[in-house]
Amino acid sequence: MTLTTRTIAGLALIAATVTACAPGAAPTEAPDAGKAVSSALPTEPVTLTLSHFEEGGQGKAIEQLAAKYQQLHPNITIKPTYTAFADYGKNIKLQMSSESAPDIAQAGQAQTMQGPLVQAGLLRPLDEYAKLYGWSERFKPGLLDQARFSKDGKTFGTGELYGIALGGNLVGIYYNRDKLAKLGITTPFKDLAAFQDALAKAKAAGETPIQLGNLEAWPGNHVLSDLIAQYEPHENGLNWVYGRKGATFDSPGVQQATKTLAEWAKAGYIDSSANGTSDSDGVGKFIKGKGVFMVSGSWNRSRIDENMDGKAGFTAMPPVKAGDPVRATGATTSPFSISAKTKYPDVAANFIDFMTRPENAATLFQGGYLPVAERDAGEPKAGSAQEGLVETWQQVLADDGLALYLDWATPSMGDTLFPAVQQLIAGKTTPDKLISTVQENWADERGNG
Amino acid sequence: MRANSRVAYLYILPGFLVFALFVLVPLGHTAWLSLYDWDGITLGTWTGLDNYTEQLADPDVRTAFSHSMVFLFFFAALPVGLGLVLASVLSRFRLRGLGFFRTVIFLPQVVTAVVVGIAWRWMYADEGTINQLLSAVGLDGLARAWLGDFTWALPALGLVGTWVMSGLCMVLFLAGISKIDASLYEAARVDGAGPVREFFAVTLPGLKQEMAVGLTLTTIAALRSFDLVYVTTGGGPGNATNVPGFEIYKLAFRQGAVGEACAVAVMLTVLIFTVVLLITRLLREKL
Repeated sequence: MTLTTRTIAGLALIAATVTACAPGAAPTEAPDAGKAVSSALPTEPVTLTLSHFEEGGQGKAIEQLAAKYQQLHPNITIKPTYTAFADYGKNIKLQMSSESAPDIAQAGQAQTMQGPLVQAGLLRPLDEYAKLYGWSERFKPGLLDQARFSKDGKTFGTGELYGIALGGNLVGIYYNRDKLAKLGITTPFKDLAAFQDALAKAKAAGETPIQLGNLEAWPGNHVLSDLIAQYEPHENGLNWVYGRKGATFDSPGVQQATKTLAEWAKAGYIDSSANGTSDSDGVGKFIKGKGVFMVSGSWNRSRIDENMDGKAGFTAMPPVKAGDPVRATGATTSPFSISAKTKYPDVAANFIDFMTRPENAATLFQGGYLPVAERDAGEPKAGSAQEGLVETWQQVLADDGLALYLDWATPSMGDTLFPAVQQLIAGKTTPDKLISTVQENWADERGNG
Repeated sequence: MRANSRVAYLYILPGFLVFALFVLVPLGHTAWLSLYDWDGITLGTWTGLDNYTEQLADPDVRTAFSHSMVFLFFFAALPVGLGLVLASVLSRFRLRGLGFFRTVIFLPQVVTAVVVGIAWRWMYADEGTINQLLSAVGLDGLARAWLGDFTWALPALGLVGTWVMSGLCMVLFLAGISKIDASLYEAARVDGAGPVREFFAVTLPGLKQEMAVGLTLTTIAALRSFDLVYVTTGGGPGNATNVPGFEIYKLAFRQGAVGEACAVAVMLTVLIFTVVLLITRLLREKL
């Protein structure tokens, strides 16, 4: 078939019509942007919707707080709607840009959810409310920065505040108390070398040193990022996640961390079935006694405590040099943001403030949230993994040592880094190759490598 | 005559409207979006064919398409072959409980892909059924977490496809065989043809249409596969089981690269059309 003038003309016409309109919408200003904020509440009946993906106890805590709020303000109804996380992330953009957008919505930090929403002008900056309610005094330093974004939605960590979180999460080392006693290992570890000695001891005794279910590919990345948090200077790590100019993954600290993980895998410290075992099945194996340690996050804590009943503990990944500040992969839970479309931003901000007030700290703590504000929320059960977790969390916050999550760096970082970690653990890639692949993605997406 | 054909179009119209609304329009929309750099909400920018060249140059995307070819073998070639053998054997012998076997072999077709995926994920786990069977017959050495193995994960998923699609092919071919004139078989037998000869001389040519249908269905299932990968490996380990369908999902829903996702989707559609066209052409003329 040859291209005739007619087909060329036809194609040109199609191209012309197609280019005439582009998908999507340009960002719009909030309807009442610039209006003074107030903590005064309206007297007429008001109903606000709140979208979230918090499961179990954490979700229940939100419902309890919404009910309590309504008791205090009978004319205001807060309607929480839960969507499973797997669906939430896919729908949030559509939801927030629709006419019936929820007034308050949970939006994950960085490029996962918040970035695109800020770029589209769908979230309301909260700085004036932060001033009004004194949020920067209420939350520990560094925690609010995670929910800050530049107005163009490109870089985060500084800029305007777009959300407030109810709690935190953290990655560290779960351990099996019975096995530690048998092997004669004591915690906390004074330094990373002590932990590596423990791993060698466990291996020599015929145990699986580290249980890991890495079928989904992201769990293994948490082991790596907890190691990076020890080897890499803290500021460098944060700069890289925040996407600041000049930051690089190809640094001595990251190299050392990646090499260490590869060595652990090679030495058989990590369950050989890791890549073929789902996260949930991995936790199940640890509970059943396969694995002396498990490097995982606080989200698995309640299942472990419920099933191991005092036989599990939690400690931080130790620093390279004994006595150095405690650092860990972790962040606040996904913050709550206010829709730019809401008619009642004052009420929405008041409710967000209410959820994080000291008098409600106990409700959040009982729901399983790690406390983010300066207050005494309650006491965990002695001898539980929760006890170690809360203690580690307080230490990390006191040392300002939250290292955040590596996949926040760019929208496609997870899809780049996670498979590479699977390859690293299986010996299918080298530390150098992993680092260059990751840094290439970072430079491409940030356009400022 | 003209009035008649107009009436005929009128009959097609309701079906066509639904087809246009739910297939043609979205297809056109996808093609249109594939020409833009678009994140799903903010204003997109026109990029022409950049998404296509960029995705074609991406080694991950190319690997995904090559995995599709492996799936073609496991989802289409193998089930059609197995289906032919099963159907000719089952139709030759008066088996007791034939209906039962037919149902059992067809059953995977009835079960939702997600359930199939989760069930096989457990069977392939390091302490799963497959490894238990292996160690029962003294092959412990072969046992592994199959879906986490860089070499075996893709064939392991492929075999799930074989398991699902074989029953469909078998039932299709059984129906086809029952349609073949019995006198042809008699003639073959009188001429002294054995079962093998009979298969190639009578059964196979008689099943041309059914083979076209079976190959088309299984090929489409192979190329568009997403759900199985989604619930079992998520494309891993590494990218060892990534397929175009899953790549589209990653781009659109995880990375917010809607334009790129649409470009891959259009390429996949074109590929499926081409392969299916080839199949129907080949089976119409030859055999």
